[in-house]
Amino acid sequence: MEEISSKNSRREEFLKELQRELSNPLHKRLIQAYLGDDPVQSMESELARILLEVLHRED
Amino acid sequence: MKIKSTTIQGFRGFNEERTIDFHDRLTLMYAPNSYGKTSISEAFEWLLYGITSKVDKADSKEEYRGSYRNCHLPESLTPCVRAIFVDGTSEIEFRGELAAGDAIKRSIDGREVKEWPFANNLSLTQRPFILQHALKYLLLVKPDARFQGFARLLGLEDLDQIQRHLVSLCTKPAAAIPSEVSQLLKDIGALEARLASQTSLASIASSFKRGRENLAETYEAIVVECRQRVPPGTEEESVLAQLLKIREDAVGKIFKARITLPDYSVKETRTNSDDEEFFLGCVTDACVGKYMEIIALATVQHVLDRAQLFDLGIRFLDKTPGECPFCGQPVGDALQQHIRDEHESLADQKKGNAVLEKQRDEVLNSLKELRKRLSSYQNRHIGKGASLLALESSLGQLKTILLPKHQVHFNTVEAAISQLAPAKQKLEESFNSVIEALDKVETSIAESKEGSALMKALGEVLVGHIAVAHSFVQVISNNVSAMSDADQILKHELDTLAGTEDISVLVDLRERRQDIEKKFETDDILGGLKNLRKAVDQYVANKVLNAISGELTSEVMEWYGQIKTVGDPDVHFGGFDMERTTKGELKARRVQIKATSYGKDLASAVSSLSESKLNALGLCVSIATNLKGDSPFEFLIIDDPIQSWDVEHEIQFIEVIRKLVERGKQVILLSHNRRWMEQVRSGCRTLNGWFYEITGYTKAGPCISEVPWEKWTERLKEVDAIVKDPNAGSVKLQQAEEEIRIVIAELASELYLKKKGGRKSPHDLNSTKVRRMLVECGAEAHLVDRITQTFETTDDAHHAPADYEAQRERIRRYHAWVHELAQLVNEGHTT
Repeated sequence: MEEISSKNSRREEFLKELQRELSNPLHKRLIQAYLGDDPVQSMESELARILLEVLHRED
Repeated sequence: MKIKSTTIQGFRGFNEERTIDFHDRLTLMYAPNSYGKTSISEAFEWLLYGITSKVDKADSKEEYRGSYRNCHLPESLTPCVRAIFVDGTSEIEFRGELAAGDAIKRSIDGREVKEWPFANNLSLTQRPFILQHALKYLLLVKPDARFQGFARLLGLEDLDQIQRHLVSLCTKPAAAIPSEVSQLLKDIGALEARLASQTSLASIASSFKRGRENLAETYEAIVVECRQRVPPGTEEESVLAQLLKIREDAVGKIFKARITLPDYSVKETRTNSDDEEFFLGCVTDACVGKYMEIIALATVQHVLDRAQLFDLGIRFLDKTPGECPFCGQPVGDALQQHIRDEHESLADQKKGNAVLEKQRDEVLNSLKELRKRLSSYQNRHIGKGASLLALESSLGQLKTILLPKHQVHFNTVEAAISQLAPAKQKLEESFNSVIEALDKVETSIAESKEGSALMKALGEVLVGHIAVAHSFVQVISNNVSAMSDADQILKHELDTLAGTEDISVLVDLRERRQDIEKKFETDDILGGLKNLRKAVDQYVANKVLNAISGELTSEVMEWYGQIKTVGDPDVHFGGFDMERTTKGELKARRVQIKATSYGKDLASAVSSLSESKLNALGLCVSIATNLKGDSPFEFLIIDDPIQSWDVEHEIQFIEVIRKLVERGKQVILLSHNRRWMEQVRSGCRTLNGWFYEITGYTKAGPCISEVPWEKWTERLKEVDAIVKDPNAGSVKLQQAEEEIRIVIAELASELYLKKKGGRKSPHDLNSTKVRRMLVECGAEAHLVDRITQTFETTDDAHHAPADYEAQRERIRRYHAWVHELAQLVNEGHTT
C-alpha cells in the first residue's frame, strides 16, 4: 500500500505541476480527471462530458 | 543491506536445493554459458521484485508463463528462493515461494508479509542488477524504447506513462467522442461537402471553410443567396418558409417520404433506465409482501358488515332502549350491555382495517403508475421505428430513385426494415403480456383474490419485456448511422432530380446554424488537443532533460572515464541531451546520446561508438544510476558485463569493480569468461573475495564448487615478504595477519574434509570453531592452542580490536605455526 501511495503522490505532483503550466481551462479539466482513479477512463469520460456540454448547450 | 547467502530450490535452472555464501565485498562466479549462472541473478530479481526483467520486458508475458519453475522439480515441492540479508549487525531472512500464476508469496524470518518493508523505495530506485541483456534496452533500441529505458532507470516511469496516456487521448480521441457528437460532426461534414459541390454557392463554401471566426460573414452571404431564390419582396422572416415550400413542391412531385431512424438521446436513454428501474421496483419481494397483505381485507369484510349492522342496532337501541328492533320483544340489560361491548370492539377492528385499506390504495396507485409508465416506455420505443417502418409500403418507389447508383444504401434500408419489423412485433407481444399480467393483478385486488403467483408472473413478464426492449434498442442503434447516410443520399438524389440541391443546402445551412456553431466549437476543442499534446511533450521532455543532463551526465562521464581506452580513434561519449527541433524546441521522447571525436561533436553516439564502447557506456549508465538515489541495497549483481568487449576494456573494467567495492558496494560478479574472471581475481587480490566455479550442469541443477581465492602457499609467501620488508607499516602487517587467518581457515577446512569427510566452509570460521574442528580431527593440544591463539588479534567479524598493535615478531610466530598445521594437513599426521 505504501508503495502505491508513494507512487501516486509522485504522479500527482507531476500532474499538478503540468496542470499549473496549462492555460486552457478544458485542458486543466482533463488533467484533473486524470488525477483520479482509473485515470485513462476518467479522462476520456471528461472529454466526452466537455463535448456533450457543447452539444446540449441551449444558445 | 548486503547479502550473506542465498538458497535456491526449484527456481529456473536450480532443481535441488543449493546454498551460496557471498563475500561482503567481492564474490566472483564463473560458469560456461547455460550452466545456470543467470538463474542466480534472476532468483534475486524475482525475490526482490516479484518478476524478472526478462519477463517484465518481454513482448508477450504468456511466452514466459510457468518459466520460473524448474521443469525437473518434483510436483510435491514448491520453488523457493531464500536470502539472508545483513543490515548493520542484524541478519534477516527473506523468503519467496512461487505461488499460483507465477506470483510470489513473501515471508520475513518465517512471517508472511504482503510487501517487503522497503517496497516503497523499490519502484523509485534503480534495481541492483546490471544485466548485459538490459543494455540493449537502453542504447541499441528505437528512440521511444530508449526513452522508456531511461525513464525506468531514472525512476520517471510515471512521467513516461502520463505522456503516453495523454498523447494517446490527444492524437486518437475518437473513442472518447460520444456517438451523438460524432453524428453531428458527420452530418455537418456532409453538409459542407454538399455546399462545396454547388458552384453557385462557391463564395459561401469558401467562407465556411474559414471556420468559426468567419461564421457571421458566412451567414451574411447565406442570407444574400437565399433572397436571390425567393420572389422579390418576400419578408425576411418568410424567406426560409418560402424556400422550404419551393423545395417541397418540387421534391414532393417525385417522392414524399424520408428515411428517418432517430437514435435515443442521452435523456431518453436515462428515462428508459429510470423506467426499467421503476418496473422492477414494483415487483420486489417487499412489494409482493404488501400486495399479499391486503388479502386480509377480504376476510374482514364480514367484520365490516357486522359493524354496520351494530351501528344500526345501537341507533335503534338508543331510540327505544330495552326493545328488539326486529320483533319488538324486550331486551334485558345484560344483552344490551353485550351489544354495546360488541359494537365498540367492532369499531376498533374497523380502525385496523383502515391501515390495510390505505395499503391497498398504495398498491393500486403503484400499479396505475406502472401501467402509465409502461405505456410511455412502449410508445417511446415504438415511436423510434415508426417512420422507418412506414416507409415499407414505399420501398418500390424508393428503389427506383436509389438504384442502381445507390444499391448499397437501398439494401441497408431494406435490411433495417426487415430487422425492425419483427423486433417491433416482439416488443408489442411482450407489452401485451405485461398488460395482461397487470390486469390480472388489478382484478385480483378488486375481487379480493390476491395470489403471489400473479405478482410473480407479472415480475417475469416485466423482466422479459425489458430484455425485448433492449434488443429493440440495439436494432435501432445498429441502423441509425446507416439510415442517416441513406437519407442524405435520398435527399441529394431528390434534390438532383428536382433541381433543388442549392436550395436544400441553403435551407440546411439556415436551419442548422446552431449545430454548425457547435460543430466548429467541437472542432476547436478536438483541434486544441494538439496544443495539450505539445504542452505535455515539452513538460515531460524538460523533466527528463533535467534528470539526464548535469548530474547524470557527469557521473556517467566519471565512470566512462575509468573504462575509456586510448588506443583507438578518439570517439567517445559526450553526454546526454534531448533532441531538438530546428526551432530549438525539445523533441518528444528523444533522448540523445552525444559523442565527440577529437573534441568535435558528432550527431549520435549510437551510430558513432563501437559496440565495445556502447556496452561500456551502457554499463556506466547502469552503475551511475545504481549509485544514485536512496536504494536500500548495498550490493550490486553484475551479470556478464564484458560481452563483445576488447581486451583493453576488459582490463579497465577490473578497476571499476575495485572502485565500486571501495565505495561500499558488495559486488557479485558473474561471467562465462574464465580468463577474465581470473584476471579480476588477480586485480582484486587484496580484497580476498570468494571465487565460485560452476563445473557442470545436471538434472539436479548447477554443480557449484569453491575455488580458493589464492593458494595458501602463495599467501604465506606474501606474509613472509611483508614480515621481511623493513618498510612494511602497520597496515601491511595487519594484512599479513589477516592472510594467516585465511590460510588457517582454509587448512582447517581441508583437514576436516580429509579426516571427517564433511565440508565446512572456511568463510565463517573463528577461534572456537577452528579449535573444535582441530580437536575433532585429533590435532595435538599444543598445536590447537597455538592455532587458536592466532585469532586473538581479531574478533569474529575479522575486525581488529581498538588496542591492536602490529608486531613483526608475533606474525613470524604465527607464520611458523601455520606451517605446522600445513604439515599436519599434508601428512595426515595425528596422535
